[in-house]
Amino acid sequence: MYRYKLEEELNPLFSFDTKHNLSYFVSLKKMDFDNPYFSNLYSLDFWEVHNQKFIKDSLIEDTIIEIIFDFFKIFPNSLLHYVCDSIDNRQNGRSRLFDNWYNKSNNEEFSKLNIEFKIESDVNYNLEFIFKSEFYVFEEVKTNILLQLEEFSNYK
Amino acid sequence: MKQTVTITPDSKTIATLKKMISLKKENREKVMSKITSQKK
Repeated sequence: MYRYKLEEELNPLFSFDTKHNLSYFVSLKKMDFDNPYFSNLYSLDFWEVHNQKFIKDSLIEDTIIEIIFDFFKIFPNSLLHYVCDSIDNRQNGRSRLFDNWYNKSNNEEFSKLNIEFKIESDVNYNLEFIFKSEFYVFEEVKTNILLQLEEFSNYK
Repeated sequence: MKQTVTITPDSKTIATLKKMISLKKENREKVMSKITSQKK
């Protein structure tokens, strides 16, 4: 794992550099939907500063996974979500990262919900949610997410 | 617990998902802009 540093606290932002001179940011942005159920919702994102991703380096994944664990130590009642599309064909790698994170976690302590939006012959979307089971009931999370998506869609 | 739910979205939901992706990109740009200005 690489050493990382906290760049910002309000919307937690972490950074780390790799042995291949790549620089990564991991952002956990607090979301506000005017919905009390999602009062601790954070949006996760990670990227290389110059969009260089061609070097295979498992330490990058290990570091991001460790940052997520550390985040939950500070904000244990968070509902963490990650959204991605299939435009760059990297969605499987991202999904694997979350699977690896879940596999490394105590499965009784954490839950993971993946919502796949399949569109024939078009871009697909994935919404991943991870949270501690002591703060959220799995079926309630699923119901509230789907209701919130419906509300967003009807709002347009 | 771990679960995958597969949904065939309607056009409004697709628009919502596109908006979420767009917000994610905007946040990246804001972060990079802030970091760049701090380093100057």
